[in-house]
Amino acid sequence: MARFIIKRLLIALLIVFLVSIFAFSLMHILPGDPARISLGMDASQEDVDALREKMNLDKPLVQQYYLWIAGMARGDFGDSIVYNRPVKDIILEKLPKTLSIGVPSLIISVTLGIVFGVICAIKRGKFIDQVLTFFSTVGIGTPQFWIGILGIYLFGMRLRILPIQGYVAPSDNFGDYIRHAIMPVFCMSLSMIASVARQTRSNMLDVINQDYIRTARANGISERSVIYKHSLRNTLIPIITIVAMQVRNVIGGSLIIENVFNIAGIGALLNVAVTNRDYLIVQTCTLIISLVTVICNLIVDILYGVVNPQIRINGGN
Amino acid sequence: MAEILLDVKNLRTSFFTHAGEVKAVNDVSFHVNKGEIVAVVGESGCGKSVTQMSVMQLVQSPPGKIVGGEIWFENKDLLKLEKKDMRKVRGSEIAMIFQEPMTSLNPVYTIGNQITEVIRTHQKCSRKEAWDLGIKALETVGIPEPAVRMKSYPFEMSGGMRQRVLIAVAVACHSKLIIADEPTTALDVTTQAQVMELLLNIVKEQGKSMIVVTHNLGLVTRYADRIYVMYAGRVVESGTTKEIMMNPQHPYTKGLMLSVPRLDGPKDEDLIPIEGAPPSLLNFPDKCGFAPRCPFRNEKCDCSCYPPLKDVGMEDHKVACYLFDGGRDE
Amino acid sequence: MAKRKDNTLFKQSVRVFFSRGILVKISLAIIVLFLFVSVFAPILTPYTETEQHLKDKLQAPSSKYLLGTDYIGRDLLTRLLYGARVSLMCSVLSSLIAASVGIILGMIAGYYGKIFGSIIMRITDAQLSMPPLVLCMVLASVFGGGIIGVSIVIGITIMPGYIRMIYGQVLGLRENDFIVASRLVGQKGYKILFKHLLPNCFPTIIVMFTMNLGTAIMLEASLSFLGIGITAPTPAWGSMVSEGYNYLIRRPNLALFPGICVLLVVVAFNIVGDAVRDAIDPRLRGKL
Repeated sequence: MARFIIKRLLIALLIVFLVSIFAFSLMHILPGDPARISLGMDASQEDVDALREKMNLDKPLVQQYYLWIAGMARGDFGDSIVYNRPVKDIILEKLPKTLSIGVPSLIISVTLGIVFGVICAIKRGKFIDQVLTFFSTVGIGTPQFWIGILGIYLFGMRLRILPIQGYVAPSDNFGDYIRHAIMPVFCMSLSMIASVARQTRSNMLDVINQDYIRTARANGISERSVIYKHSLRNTLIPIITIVAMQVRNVIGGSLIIENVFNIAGIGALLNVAVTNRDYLIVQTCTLIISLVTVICNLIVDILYGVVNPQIRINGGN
Repeated sequence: MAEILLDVKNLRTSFFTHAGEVKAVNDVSFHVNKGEIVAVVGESGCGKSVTQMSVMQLVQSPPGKIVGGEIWFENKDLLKLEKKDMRKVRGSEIAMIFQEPMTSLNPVYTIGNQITEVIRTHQKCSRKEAWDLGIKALETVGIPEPAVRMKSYPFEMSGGMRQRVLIAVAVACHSKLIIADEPTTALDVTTQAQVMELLLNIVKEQGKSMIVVTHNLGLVTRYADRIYVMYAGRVVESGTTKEIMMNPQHPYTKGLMLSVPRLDGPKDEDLIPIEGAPPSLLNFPDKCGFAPRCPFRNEKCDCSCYPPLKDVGMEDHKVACYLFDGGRDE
Repeated sequence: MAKRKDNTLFKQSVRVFFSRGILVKISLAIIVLFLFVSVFAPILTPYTETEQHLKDKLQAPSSKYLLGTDYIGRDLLTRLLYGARVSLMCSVLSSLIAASVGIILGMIAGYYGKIFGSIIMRITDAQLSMPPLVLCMVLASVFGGGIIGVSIVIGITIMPGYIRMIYGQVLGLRENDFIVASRLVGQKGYKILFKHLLPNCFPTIIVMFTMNLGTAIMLEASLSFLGIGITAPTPAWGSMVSEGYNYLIRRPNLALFPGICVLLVVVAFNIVGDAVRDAIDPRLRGKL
């Protein structure tokens, strides 16, 4: 088991390394001089050159990369050329907002998705299965930006029961936070619930057709135990991977949701940073996002080992 | 007069698909007496497995459905039972063992967990008591170090051992009837013999009855008291093992006997296969299913109704064939 | 012998595909409809997509402007039709790019063994560790906003699916006897890949391609909505929603209708994709 974890850890590190190189090189391919963007068109050439030197932009690329990584190890993430503030501060400021929408979405999506998927599998072919399956197909194809705007129009403008935009932190006023968060969370969750439900349904149907379920039934085991004890555990093992994938979708979704609902989170930050060539923010955010996904996948792999006795005992073949 | 344990009358099970109705079990009747071993033989696809699944009411529905007949077990028509009463029958009164031991145990739970669950489903006892019963059951089937094995996972065991575990589960609840559906087909020859010996010992010692479903005639001629031969969803011949072996009446049965290699036959004698292939049961017409392959067929065989089962005369030997002239109608 | 088998597999697939019910037929009809309007857009409307009628801006639907006008007097329906053209072209182009490059990379990774394979797969893993939209966004800043640029960006983003799938298939097929036999006879590597291995992957490729068409449209619409995709004044459904957002209370049509188009087309492609997958190989259910 230990060997299994170490192997996965090394691969994870490799992936993060590759992503960092990608993020770094991309931003340096782009045209435009970051120093000049920071100081503006009217600044003198000497000022720009001085800033370039301070930002290490005159050094060879490999060295710049090394300095960037070394800086991050020390906790220095550099300064944003657009906001002229440390990147670390900006990110830490925006992160909670994204999380307060993203984490509830993730939890709700996974829970409801699994529940719906199991229901559909148990009641396969019946009315509820057909309805839920149809809705999940539609849900996956619904653009998040559109459903958000539709929601704002219906509930915000016409019915006036929910606020149109904006964000309130849960620590400030929990009631207001909920009111502002309902629509963003719903929009983000919609396609994720659909996706998890489909996958769960499909897995569960596969499991129910397995020989060991036939054995359990032939031995007189109650249908309840067949479903909840024998089928569910085998179904959920692969679902763990799906959950990790949803983390990716939460991050990607936040780009759009924060734009529609005017929430000043990481998604909005990244949006602005790309447009404005704020290269350090883009690099750092990309790296962090990738790191989060990789860590999630690592946790998933380890969980697999815990839940699946074959891996645990055999060492992960 | 032997006491009847299981009496299946005119069972019909069909699968309703997009392409039409597949009459997998088409008016099948058979019975098992107390303490008897009955063999059901036939090729793949003749309906022998579906018949047993119908007895256990484990047929996948949709698309399958038991459309007619009666299944009498100890004065109860199983087809008229409530679902929960039928569930009580499964595993404790009638136990079934399947063909693929490698995939018949849940991979994420220990053997002990799975055995004790079955035991506690059918009898009131504590976990500890069930665990001990489980160890005893594993002992009965000849698994070494049973106490250790209870804590193992299925993937840690070989195919033969897994089949023994499955038999142990069937035994642990003291069922009166064991249905073994091709119990040794997926095992290598040495293990086959061991598992078969084990099953027979258990059946004889504990006075159980057994139905063995197989396509391997050689297996059953040694062990079975009576044989039913099935073809294309119907019973075409039935009788005691001795009668069927010595005096097969149906051309298909004759073909089966001829295609089994015999140790006492001449060494260079050819094996005679049965020409052709079994028919598709989709939208099957009402006539003798074997006729297209039968080397003895005549005009009478092409008529549009099933040949009735007729008494051959000796010891309850019956055959369904237009070529058989003598005897009374069933 | 192989030809006849292909024939019946195809016929059988078609039969299963159409027996799936009315939903599949409706979806196919929707796709055909959008294809039709995207090709014949110039004939179908009297306006061009950039024509401005500043006196008639923000009009409600009327006999003159069937769905109304936008904030600078452009006919909404016209822009929707031309937007269909953009979306469909983008999705087909990006799917083709993803498929062609992805399949080749997957084959190389699977066939030429350990070092190449590892490198390509690790890079694919790295790419998959980023949410598709983030990757698209970052790449879009490099490749620019035309249809070709956006197609390349989306193509790169959906490539990993092909790479992984072909890699897996080649890895599995590589040890089959007929491949080993070819090698023993002296057949060259690339010939084995294209003549023997690739045809065996066709069914899965077809399924993946159909499903990617929907994904690509969704990505393009999202990018355009964020302003990083297709740039003005070329009409794109995503950017139309974004522009219309400003006038939501006065003219909700402007934001809502383009979104409905995206919804219809993506769902239609998904339903058709599922049906194709079930028709060709139901065992793929759950994996694709």
